[in-house]
Amino acid sequence: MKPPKILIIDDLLGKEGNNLEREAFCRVNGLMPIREGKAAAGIDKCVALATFVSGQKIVSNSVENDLEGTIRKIKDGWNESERWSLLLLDLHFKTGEFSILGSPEGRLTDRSPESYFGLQILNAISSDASLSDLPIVLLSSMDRTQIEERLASLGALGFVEKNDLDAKKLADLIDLYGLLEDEKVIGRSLPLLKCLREARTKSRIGNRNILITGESGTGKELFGRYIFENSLRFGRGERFNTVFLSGVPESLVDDLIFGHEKGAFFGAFDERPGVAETANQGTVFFDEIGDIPAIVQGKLLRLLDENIRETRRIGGRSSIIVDIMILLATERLEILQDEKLFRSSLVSRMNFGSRIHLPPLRERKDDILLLAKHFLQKLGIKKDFSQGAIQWLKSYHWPRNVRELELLISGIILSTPDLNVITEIQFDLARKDDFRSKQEKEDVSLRGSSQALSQSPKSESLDDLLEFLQSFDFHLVPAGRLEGLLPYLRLATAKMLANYLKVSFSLKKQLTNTIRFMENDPDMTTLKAASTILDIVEIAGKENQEKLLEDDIISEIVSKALKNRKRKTIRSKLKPPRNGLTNDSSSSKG
Amino acid sequence: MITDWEMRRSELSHDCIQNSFIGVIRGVEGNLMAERLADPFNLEAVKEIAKRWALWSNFAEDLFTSAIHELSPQKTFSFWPLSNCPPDTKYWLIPVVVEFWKIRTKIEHKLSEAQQKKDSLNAVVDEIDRFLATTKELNAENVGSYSVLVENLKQAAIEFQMSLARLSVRYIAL
Amino acid sequence: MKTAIVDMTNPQRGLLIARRIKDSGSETWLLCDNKGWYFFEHNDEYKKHGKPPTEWDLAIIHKTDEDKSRFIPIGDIAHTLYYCGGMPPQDDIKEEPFYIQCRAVEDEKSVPSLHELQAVVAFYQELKKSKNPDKPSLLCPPPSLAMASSLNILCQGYISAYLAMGNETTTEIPHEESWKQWQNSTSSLGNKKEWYDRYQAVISKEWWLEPLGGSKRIEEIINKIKEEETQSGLKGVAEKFRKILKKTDVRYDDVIELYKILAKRGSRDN
Repeated sequence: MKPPKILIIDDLLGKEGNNLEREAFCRVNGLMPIREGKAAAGIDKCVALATFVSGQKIVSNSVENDLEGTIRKIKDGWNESERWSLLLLDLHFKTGEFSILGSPEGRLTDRSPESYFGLQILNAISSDASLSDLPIVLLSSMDRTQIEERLASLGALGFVEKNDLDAKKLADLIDLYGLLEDEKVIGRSLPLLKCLREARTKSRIGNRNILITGESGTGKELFGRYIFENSLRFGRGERFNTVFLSGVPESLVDDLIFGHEKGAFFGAFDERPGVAETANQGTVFFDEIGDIPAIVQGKLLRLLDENIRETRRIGGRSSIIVDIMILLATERLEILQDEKLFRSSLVSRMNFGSRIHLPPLRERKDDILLLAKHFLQKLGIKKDFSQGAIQWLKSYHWPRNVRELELLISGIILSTPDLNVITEIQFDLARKDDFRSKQEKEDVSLRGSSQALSQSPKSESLDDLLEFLQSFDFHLVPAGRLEGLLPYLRLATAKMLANYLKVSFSLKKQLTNTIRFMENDPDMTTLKAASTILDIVEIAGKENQEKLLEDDIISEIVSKALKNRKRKTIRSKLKPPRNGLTNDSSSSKG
Repeated sequence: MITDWEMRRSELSHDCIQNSFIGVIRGVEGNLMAERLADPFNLEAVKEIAKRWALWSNFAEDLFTSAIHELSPQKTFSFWPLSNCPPDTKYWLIPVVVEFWKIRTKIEHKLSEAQQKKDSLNAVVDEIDRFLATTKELNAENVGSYSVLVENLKQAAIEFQMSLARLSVRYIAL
Repeated sequence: MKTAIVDMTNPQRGLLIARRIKDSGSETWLLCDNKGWYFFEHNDEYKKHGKPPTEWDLAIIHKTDEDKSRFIPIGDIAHTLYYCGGMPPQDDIKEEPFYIQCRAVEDEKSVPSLHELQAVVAFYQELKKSKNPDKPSLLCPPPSLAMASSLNILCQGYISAYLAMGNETTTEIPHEESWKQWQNSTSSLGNKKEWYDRYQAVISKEWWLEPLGGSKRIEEIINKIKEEETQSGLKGVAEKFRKILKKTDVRYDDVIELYKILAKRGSRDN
């Protein structure tokens, strides 16, 4: 990542010509000075690229402060696409005729805190709306006690003594107060840079709750990862657990977050820690916290207590204290504010008042082209955008934000792979295609959860369950949630069949009769019955078979089936036979 | 009331010694610690401040010489109302109060100390000048002794600056 | 802005003032001898010039030259400012012409500095725009606490003469150690006779009152001291001084009481 650009306004360091003091300052602080628009060579581990300005001019052999010229230089760099990340501003500027020591002799008024030139510059900046977001840190060892409050009220974010500064402190200052771009969260618009700064500030504090809001497609998860990655620098652990709440059944949410003890419910073959536990010292990211079921909100309240975070497994007797940073993302603030759906105590723990709100793409016009180029690069494609396309990009209102931009770009590349220049026409067409497909799924948007929840079985009858299972629409599940789902589905299916097998066996007491009963097949043979039983176990998949076989009854059934049908792979996973259990050779005859 | 002498003292102490002298040495130190030996700044910068020191040293000398005259209560006799004192009163009263002021402020001791620190700094600058006269570049062999010289230079400059700070006097009369 | 400097008594003094007025941004002309007006170019050189302006924004005139008005062309002088080689007036002058009051402008060492004259030029520029600016310190009576610092010096003079006469210090005296050390230099600062004469002088009230304004202006002096008390926070100075003046001779104990208050300020500096 290219180093940030900073501006330093200091009468000594900004003096024109051969400036030893500036060269020394650059070396101490890891700065690469920019001269005539180019960065000088020679500084390794560059903290920032620095432009130095003296803030003064020579008038008839006398040095005078130049407010107008200084403000002009500030604005030039601020209005560029790669704007100043930070301004370091000296307070005291010496004016007057040159003394025999070669510097201005200084006037009494220069030394008076009320008339520091740095204060005048700060005043001028704060009066100019176009510069209101410029981060300013004062660089001075002069007495400022009389005017400290005034300096802060004019927007100075911090103070640093010139001689105390070094590369590490400067890097820290820039990180804390500066506007910095990121390699992964692409963009350089002011709204985005301000959000990134806020994220860095919050990530320093450690185990707190951070609420991230923003429209769909604004990149909340990416932003969450940015916060997490920054928190690593301040000693947080490397574990980052994501909990996708949209479309997840209520019963699973509790288990996902808090885990369970062995035997806590039917199918709980083993203890399993939840994400809150496994992320200890790390971070947990809740995607779409608005979808958290009501029954879990009570337990979540304890977990969100920043003073002592407690988690308790399902079936657990005692609480476990954890140290985690919790990121909560939502695009539906209105749910959080609806007391019927969300406890107000929960909302207050989410630090609602100091949430980070990601700006929608239409408020980040400077970033749109940058992102578009980034998506092309991600696809490994080299294409240009016409002026018309650029105009189109800037004027479109982007209801689905960055995700929509990415989809449009992908769509264009797929549909017109041979075009070297993308024009506004391609965007128009791509948008219409995308809109049409979205219209079809209008009730089933990627807002997900309410639509997904509507798929739950209408009642608990077996027929309803079967119909539900067969008709479950995976379209409604967010893409991120679909990844890695098969093992869970296998296990769930195998458990369901195993439970059915156990109940049937308890009725029929004999293997072949059990399977005959289950298949409703009067011609069922012993061999076929054995095969069916082993098929049920194999559905669970290799990674889950052990768990299934820990159940004594299933283990017994399978052991009997194996006698009738030798299968080595399953045999090795069997437990030793219980005392009293024999191989029932008479039952194998059916 | 800040006197012209005080402004000159401040210029020497703050602008020359702190910002320029010590500031430049910090740059060289940073390079040496990071083993950036090839940077011509390491030698050129010290050469330059050693050159400037000659001017600053003379300036300091003038400052010390004029200190008592500029700072002592003698000046109050140029202002009303003591400018109205008859000449025969001024004749004895001025030396009396100046002498008392010198004793009370220990100004001569402070000036002597500042002079010593200046001389120490002079000595280190001379030593570094000798080193620079025979050294074209820094390498593994000579960097050790150069680092020691630079550290000594910084220390001497800091001590000189502190002695200048002790000379800071705001009120001339009381 | 056009400024005329008139100083026929001390041309070097006039020249220095003129240079600094020029550096403050005014077109500047100097009359300092009978050879005519000098005009200042931008590059700090000055040269004789035949025809000075007929209208002036400001004339800075040495008080003894004020009757040399025949040298100043007929025309408007918007503002006049006087300065004195001797003691200037010490009042809060409200009406023009103003004076440089802060101090006597005797020679090059006491000529106002560039920044002081810049403030003066700026002041008259504002007056020209019909504004009502504050007077710069140069045009105001001397620095605050002039009375306090002078009284402190006079106390020191008294104490030195008292000690030089071999008298004992009966009460605790501020900076006692320094006074003890000072006593070692008594002989180098005067012989016995001289000290005796000095002591006779310091015990008289006139010795105290003469520099402050004279025995006929006691109340005025006391009022000035009281004003300074408010500024300095040194309470009781006027009362102690009045006590000194009430006695026939100035007494040591009374002087020490006064000195104790004044010495509080001095001890902050060193």
